[in-house]
Amino acid sequence: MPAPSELTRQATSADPKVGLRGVAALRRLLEQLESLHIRNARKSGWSWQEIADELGVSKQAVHKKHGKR
Amino acid sequence: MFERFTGVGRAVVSEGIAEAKRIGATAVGPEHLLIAVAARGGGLPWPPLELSREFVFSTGVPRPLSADDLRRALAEQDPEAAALAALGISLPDVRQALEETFGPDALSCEGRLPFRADAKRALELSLREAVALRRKQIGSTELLLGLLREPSPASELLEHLDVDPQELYRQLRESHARLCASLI
Repeated sequence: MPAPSELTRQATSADPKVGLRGVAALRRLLEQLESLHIRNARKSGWSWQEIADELGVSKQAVHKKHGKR
Repeated sequence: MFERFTGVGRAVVSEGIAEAKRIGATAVGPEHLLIAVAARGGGLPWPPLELSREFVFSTGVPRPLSADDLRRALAEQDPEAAALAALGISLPDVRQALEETFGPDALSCEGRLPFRADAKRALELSLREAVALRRKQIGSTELLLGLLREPSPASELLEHLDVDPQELYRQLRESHARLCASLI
């Protein structure tokens, strides 16, 4: 793992490759987290509407993406 | 293809799939299969399970590598983890925290994971090793030989840990060939 100074340098890198790779990795982590927490909410008895409210999206959007389970 | 595997060989492949799932990979690669081989045998190099206890081989490996050594090395090499580290996020920490709360499969995708082309290639090479050694089935040794045969993320993982995959291949191949010949 790079030292903090190295991290800062990378995070502010003007190299598109570095920046885009960070975005792609974040997106994948986001998808994994979203799916995990929605599964957990459903298991805890949350309605799609309650989940959608917390995520700040429409009930239809969240149900369409995650409702097939 | 899996009918060509021994029970242990098949178990190692399923453990490799589970390994890939556990760390949230989108497909199974040779590196996951390598970790599974090490996990199954209690480290690398190891006396392969389906062979006699007398089978011992020496290699240039400085110390036995455990599956956890390989897991750590894989995490260090993970380009996604590196990209997130650049943004100040530690993927291993996030994963660990989630696993503590939600269990070991917290980040794994649902459903079946596909094999990456390089993993398929390694399995194909394992079959070739078995055929060349006149073994009827692919066990964990043939699987390991297939994983070491060509450069892949599995061999890179070993190199990262200062193990020469070609030398390991050569020595393992030689010992195994001797053993197989004695069994015929």
